[in-house]
Amino acid sequence: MMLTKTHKTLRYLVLVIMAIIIIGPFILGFWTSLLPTADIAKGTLFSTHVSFQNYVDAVQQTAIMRYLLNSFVISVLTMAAQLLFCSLGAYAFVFLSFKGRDFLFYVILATMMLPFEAEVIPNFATVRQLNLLNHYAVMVIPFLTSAFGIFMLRQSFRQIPPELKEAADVEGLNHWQFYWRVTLPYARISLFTLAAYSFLESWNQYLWPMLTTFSDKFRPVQDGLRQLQSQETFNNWGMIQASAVIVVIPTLIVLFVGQHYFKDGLNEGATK
Amino acid sequence: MKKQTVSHKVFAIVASILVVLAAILGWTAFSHPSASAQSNGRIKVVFWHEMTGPAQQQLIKFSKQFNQSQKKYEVVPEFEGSYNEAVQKIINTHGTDASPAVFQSMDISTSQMHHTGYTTPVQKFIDADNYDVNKISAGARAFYSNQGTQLSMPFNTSQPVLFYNATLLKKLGVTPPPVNPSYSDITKVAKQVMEKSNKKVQGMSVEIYGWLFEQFMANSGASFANNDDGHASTPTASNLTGPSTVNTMKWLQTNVKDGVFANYGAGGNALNNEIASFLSGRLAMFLQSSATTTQLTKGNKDQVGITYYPHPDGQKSNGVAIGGASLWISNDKSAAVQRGSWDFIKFLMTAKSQAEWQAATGYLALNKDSQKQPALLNMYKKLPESRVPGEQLAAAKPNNTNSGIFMQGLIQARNLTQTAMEQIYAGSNIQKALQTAQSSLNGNIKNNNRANGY
Repeated sequence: MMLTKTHKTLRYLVLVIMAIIIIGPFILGFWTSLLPTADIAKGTLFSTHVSFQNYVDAVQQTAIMRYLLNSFVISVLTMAAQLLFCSLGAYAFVFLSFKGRDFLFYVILATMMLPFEAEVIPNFATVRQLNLLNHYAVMVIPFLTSAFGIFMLRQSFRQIPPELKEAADVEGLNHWQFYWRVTLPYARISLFTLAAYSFLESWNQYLWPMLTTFSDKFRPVQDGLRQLQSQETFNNWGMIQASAVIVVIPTLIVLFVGQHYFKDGLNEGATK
Repeated sequence: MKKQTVSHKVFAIVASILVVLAAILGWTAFSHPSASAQSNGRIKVVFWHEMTGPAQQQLIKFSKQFNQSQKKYEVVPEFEGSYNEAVQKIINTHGTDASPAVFQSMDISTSQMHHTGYTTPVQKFIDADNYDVNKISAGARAFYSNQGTQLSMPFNTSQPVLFYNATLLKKLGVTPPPVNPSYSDITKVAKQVMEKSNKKVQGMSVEIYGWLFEQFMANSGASFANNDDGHASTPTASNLTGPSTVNTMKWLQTNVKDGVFANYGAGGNALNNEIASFLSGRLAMFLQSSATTTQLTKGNKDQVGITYYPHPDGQKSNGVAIGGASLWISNDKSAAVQRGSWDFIKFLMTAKSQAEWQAATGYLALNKDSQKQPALLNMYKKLPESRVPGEQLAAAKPNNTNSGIFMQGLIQARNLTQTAMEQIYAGSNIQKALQTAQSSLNGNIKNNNRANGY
């Protein structure tokens, strides 16, 4: 379909306006991160005192680097574990036939209907009894697998042509071989998507780490960031903004790298 | 592709699963951080606090100084987020390795903390050491004691005060309010500011904040809850509709109606907007915690004036309660750890520490001898107004109406009083708004008392 010139300009105009609305707050945040706090507090937005001092302060005065490291450790572990366990789970639901398979799958799906916030109290009581509080383990163990991951990979594994499985059976491949040699390479895109998704999910965790970590040694970025805000006293807004910008960078990298896979992967199975 | 045997592949996968699990479990078992014995032979005292910014820096400094001053204990300060979050964390980790030995908890959690039974009252150590508590401000002590027992040690303490932009008032030719102003003194100044600035500068503001509501009642000598604000026994009802409260609300509403009052709403942003307006010279006066002094004076070219909290006309001010938080000792730790906690508290309360604390943060020095310390004398020289909040605290004689409200569920209570204030600012009937808040609050109190079996 060809578009007329006016049509095209109109569309671009709408797109530009929407882009400005969406990007506006980010640009504003970035700009204020370059201003001294005294100017921010007074509301002088077009200040001439632009510098990277806030970034220097953030790195020197706060534990932001430690938070980044913690988040990185937690996110990478969670991502690796979810890839492994979700793919194994999904494999079982697609290629093994056992009694109650569908029922079990629906039970797993049902856990997706329950928001994590609703499970916080029993989960907290459990980790408390296990004496896991204030440790990396408490932020990794409850997230070793995810219902969403199993669901997504199951949908993608089901698109593997049954002929492939038959051919593999004829060749004499056992389940482990088929899983490793055929299923995983075939569903590569979905695996990348799940990896990016679980990494970001884990990176953006806020409530659970807030409840279960008590020292900077284990605290991830989002909670660290929130805690830079003071109560009752002086708020160093410039430095808080600078820290927020630092925290966003890894997310952006993952998104840029994974964008291609992300888009394809999330839609996968939706049309089936 | 290279052909591999079946067992190889199976082995690889099973092994990788085992490695992940073993790694996680191994960590948990071997590197648990909260063991109380330290490798350097010192007893570890974990200190939970909720301070950020300059106050956090100062606390870290105090901990280092304390650790250097003796060889027996090592205090480890850990930051726990907002006051509300910290209360929940403290209660829910009690009895685990992760729980703190000594912690900071906010003013209105006092009754709740005491009733958990998770703490050792500092009175026990005061008696054991014959510690001279008379050095510590009586008004602050009264807030954290019950039936003559000191439950916790007052620490970061602020006073509600009135801030005004002295430079701006001078420029407009308006006489600033007196040191201990009445309601009509404030109105007079606010009106003049509006007139002389051609309505470019807002006269005054009172944030919709339950704490300020409580302080209006305290300063007029009215009880918020019965049984002497809970100091005699557990409150069974509240009283928000007394004549003095209605009178105060009428004063605020009239000013709103006359257009000399800026309403910044409720919540964290309200305070930030209020401060931004004040700093940019669009607001002349507002009521706020003295702990904001640093923020208002740092990098501000205008001179800031401070007065006592306003009191009703035709009545002497009864004095206001403090705000802030106190230090508690957990009873789930060994006697040695508790002892270490107390030694640390004593260190924080010395005249020198308290003076440095006020100079660094704006919270008030509670040790009476601090006034002669160089840190404070230097500050007073630079900023004479910073004496005012401390003087207000010293001037108030503690009684049952100005020593805080010893009641559980005060966070919910504040939500109710804030709703009432919001309605009143918007022009609702005062009596009705207060009556609604009072009935809901009485319902809460009844439920809470029944649930706890009082």
